[in-house]
Amino acid sequence: MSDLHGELDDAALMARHLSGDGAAFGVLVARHRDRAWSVALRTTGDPTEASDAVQDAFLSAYRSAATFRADAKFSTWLHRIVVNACLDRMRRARVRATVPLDESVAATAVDPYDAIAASDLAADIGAALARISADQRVAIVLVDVHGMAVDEVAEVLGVPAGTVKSRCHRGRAALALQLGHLRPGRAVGGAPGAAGTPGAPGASKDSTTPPDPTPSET
Amino acid sequence: MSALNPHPDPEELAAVAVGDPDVGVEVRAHVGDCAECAADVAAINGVLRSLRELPELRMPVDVVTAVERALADEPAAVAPASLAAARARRGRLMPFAAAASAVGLAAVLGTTVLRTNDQRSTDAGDAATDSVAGAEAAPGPRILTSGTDYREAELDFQVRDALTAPPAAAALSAEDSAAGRGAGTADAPLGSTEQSSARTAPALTPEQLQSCVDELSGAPGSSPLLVDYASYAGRPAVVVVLPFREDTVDVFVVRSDCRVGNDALIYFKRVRTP
Repeated sequence: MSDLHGELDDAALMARHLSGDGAAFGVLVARHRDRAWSVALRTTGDPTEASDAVQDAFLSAYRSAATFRADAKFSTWLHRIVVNACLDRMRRARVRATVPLDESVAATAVDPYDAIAASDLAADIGAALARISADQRVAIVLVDVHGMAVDEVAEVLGVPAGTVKSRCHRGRAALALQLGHLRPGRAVGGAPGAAGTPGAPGASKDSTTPPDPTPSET
Repeated sequence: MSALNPHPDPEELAAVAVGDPDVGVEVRAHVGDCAECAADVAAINGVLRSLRELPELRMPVDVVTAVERALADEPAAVAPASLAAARARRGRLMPFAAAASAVGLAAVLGTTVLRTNDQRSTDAGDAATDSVAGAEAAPGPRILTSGTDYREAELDFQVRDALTAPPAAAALSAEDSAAGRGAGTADAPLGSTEQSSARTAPALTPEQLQSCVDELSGAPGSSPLLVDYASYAGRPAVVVVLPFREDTVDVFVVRSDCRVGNDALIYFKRVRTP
């Protein structure tokens, strides 16, 4: 990477990439790879799936660079590609799964995050994230963990901003239930009796659904 | 809240926790008066703080390496704005191309040109058949007048087909060609334009073609793998395929006269070959 490349903003680097500058895309990768990894790992909850997803995503971005609009924000465009790559990987993993979903979730909910956790709390949060729905998890990861604006996340996910807000509210409540921070008897959706365990009697469908990677509204 | 459950739903409490203005007055009032719900709001706020404090993760070195390797292997899918940009792309990592170029188009075309010129004296049907057979025997570039209308979205497949399709499949009958039905023959004689349909680029002379290839590659004496006098997006164009690496080729789509200069280049793409 030259000094010149480092000084260019994302849009300028994309323009150079499209004009044949062989080094420009590598600068974009270096600039955004940690964020892409964070989103992918926290969305998939599986380092192997996350690794494959970010490779898919950067390849897809490279291949479809010509479709990038010069007036768009590169990070928003890339986030959309990363999230879609993650959801696609998760769908395929679900198809491949030979064990009942609840068992597979229970078996993988904690261990993958142990590898990335900086603390017990981070591990607990990670495990809880793995237990809420994929829709809610993606919204929480982008808005709460990575501080993206609701409107930008709406653009990333291709859904209305109100849908993102709703997913965040439900996701936060579901996480609080998962972590045992809410009073017993609370249930997302108003149904009493959910204890934060997937499949628990009375558990709301949206509160602690297994990680369904298929967005219901996207 | 409902008759059975006087407390707001947890997602409503989560909305209160972040000060969502859409939360109803009734819910706000309830939380203000209910110590249990206020505690739950505080708990959700605690979860929110924990989420915000999660660190940004660093991509592991092995994943960085995997991404870089995948991109390095990836044929370019971009349209350089100029011939200079296309050349710049070819300037990187092209030992295979350089080795192939050393053979020289003129050297390998010489045989083809002589042979195809000879074939002009035969009847049309035999010429087509013979030239197809010659395409398999000769080590030189494949010269087609395929009638293919190349398109950006399908270019990879169309080029692979043109490079690998059996001669019999690549060539239509001489009757089709003569009738202007967009067909040509594999190893069509250079300089022969009588078989071209209105939409298909006319063949260049060997000298024009060599000049064109040299200009595209930036290396005098380069030899293409394929030249197809065809069309691109409905307009006459010449598709010139040059080797880049053993499994990768550079595809230049140029205007039918392939005049020297940037204006000749319509599209460029690096394509992986099977």
